[in-house]
Amino acid sequence: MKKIAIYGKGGIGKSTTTSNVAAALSTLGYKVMQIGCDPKADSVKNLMNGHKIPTVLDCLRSGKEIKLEDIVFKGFGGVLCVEAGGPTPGIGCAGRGIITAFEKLEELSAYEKYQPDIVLYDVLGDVVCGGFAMPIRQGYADEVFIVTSGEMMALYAAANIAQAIKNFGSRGYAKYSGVILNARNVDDEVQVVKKALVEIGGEIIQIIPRDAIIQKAENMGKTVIEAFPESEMAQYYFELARKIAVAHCGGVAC
Amino acid sequence: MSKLCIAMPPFAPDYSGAASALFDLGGMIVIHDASGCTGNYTGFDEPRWFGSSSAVFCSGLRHMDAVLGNDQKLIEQIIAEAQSLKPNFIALIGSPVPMVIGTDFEGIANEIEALTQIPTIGLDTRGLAYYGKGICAATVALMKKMVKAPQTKIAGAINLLGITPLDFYINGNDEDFKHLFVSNGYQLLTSFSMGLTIEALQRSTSASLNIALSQAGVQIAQYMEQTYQIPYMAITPLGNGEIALEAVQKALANEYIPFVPETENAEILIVGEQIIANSLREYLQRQGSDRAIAVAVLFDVSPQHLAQNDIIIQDETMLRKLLNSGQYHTIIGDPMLKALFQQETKIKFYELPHVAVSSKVHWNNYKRFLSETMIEWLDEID
Repeated sequence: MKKIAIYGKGGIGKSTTTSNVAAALSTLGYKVMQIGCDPKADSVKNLMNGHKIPTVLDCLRSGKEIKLEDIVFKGFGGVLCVEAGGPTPGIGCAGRGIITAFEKLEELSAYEKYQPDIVLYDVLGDVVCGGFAMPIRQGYADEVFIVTSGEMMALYAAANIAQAIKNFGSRGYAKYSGVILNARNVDDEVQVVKKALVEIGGEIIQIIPRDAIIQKAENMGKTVIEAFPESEMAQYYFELARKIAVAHCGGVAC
Repeated sequence: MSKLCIAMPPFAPDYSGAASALFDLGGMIVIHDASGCTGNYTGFDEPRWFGSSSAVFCSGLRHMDAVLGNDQKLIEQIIAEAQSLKPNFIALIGSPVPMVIGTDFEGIANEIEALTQIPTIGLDTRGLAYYGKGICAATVALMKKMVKAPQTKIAGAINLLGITPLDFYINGNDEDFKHLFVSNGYQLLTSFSMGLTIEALQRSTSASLNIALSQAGVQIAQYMEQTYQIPYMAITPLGNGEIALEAVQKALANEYIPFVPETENAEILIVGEQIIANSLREYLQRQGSDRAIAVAVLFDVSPQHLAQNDIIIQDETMLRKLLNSGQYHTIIGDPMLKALFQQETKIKFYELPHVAVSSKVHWNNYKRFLSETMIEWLDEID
């Protein structure tokens, strides 16, 4: 089993990228689990036909005894979908919420029961506090990819995340494996990102071009892989998924 | 508000248990807190603290350190102190504030170990669980760190688990328990946790049987059963110790069948630590009491050691209702329970002080579990 965390600035397209990678990996024959780590809880929506699923924290809030079936849902291609969820907006602690959700998954032996080949953590924005660093701690993700565009804010966030991962090297945290360029049609975007990576470190693993078909698929509540599997965009996601699968699993089940 | 403690004090928490389990091992123990938790441990939950030279520190966590996640300050302080102390190990123990900000104790421990080359454990204790969980977490973490490979089994050799001051105080109970088994010809490898050494911890994996004298011991025993295939039994020796000796003899011969108590329509209630309470019940019933006895567990519970009609206490309100339900004419427990009784009560109450409940208020009246006075006290109960 390989665990991969996908970080990036809010709104940069992490969930879209992660969901499409998850859908592509499952189409390629891998058993995938995607865990959304964002209080908005919309990471897996496009794997679930546009529907939001109950979050781990929603279930905990109910006070009832929780079973895995209450928080793990099968989406497109059998992808196991989980949303950590968050506190009531305006109160509570979102970071602590992520930790609590992770602990619940562990307590219920989610990984042992489902035995996914690949676990994808889709993590909100920046490394903003201890809770949002949870997916890269020892025992969770092995590697981290950062989704960025050529926009300065996205690159700034990417630099922060990469720095945080490097700072925690001696703690046995996940290793930084490069960036996924989710293009926003910024002028000379690839060169801008490459230039930034000289300072940030790492390489561009995959360029995902901007294409209206992504929005079209999302309007249908689906990933591009599900809605338009033969499209050119789908091939970019398949290419990224293959790279992840080969890098982490040697192209076979992990 | 049902969890509110009105008459009873809060019971010893997990961070106290963790520090207690490591107290004698020559390590450097750092409780990551503002000082209240360390003060609670050293002032109330650790009878050995007074006059001891054990290295227990408070990290002195402050508001801005918590807000900014200033782990570096903590790491530098620990390293500076460790360089002069040269401890056998370093243990970083959590408390409620680090829990809220998600402090990564294992990660920090890895970092300290990498920088000092001193074995370091990080324990994510939170002050929200009872002491038994902390005792188990600390012991297991240290075993994982210090026991490199399980040793060859020694036939008939035993370990005693769960002997801590939080359950048995420091009035000689620990030595009495050890003496009972050694003087009856058993090879005692390791006694957890009073007087424990790193060497004893390492040789403990050679035992053929673990004897858990308290619930904290059960939790460690379950880990050792899973990891080192050492079976365990749970019993606290009482009185002249005969019942425990007989049980251990049978367990080593694979003939032990746990006692099944009479609990239907119980008129006697024992309130307290699960294994001690179970052992008291077994003693009383095997000594001829024909009365049914129920156990009400105050702290951690092992479901497999619950008898029918036993009760798990959830909060003070539940305990108060139970004590005053009119069902029990005799109740055994920590003297502080008396604060929960209705004023005009005819209940006969037998005092069994417990450090994890009443701390220093009653520890001068602690029972010697293996003694003539204990036998006399047990004989009085009806």
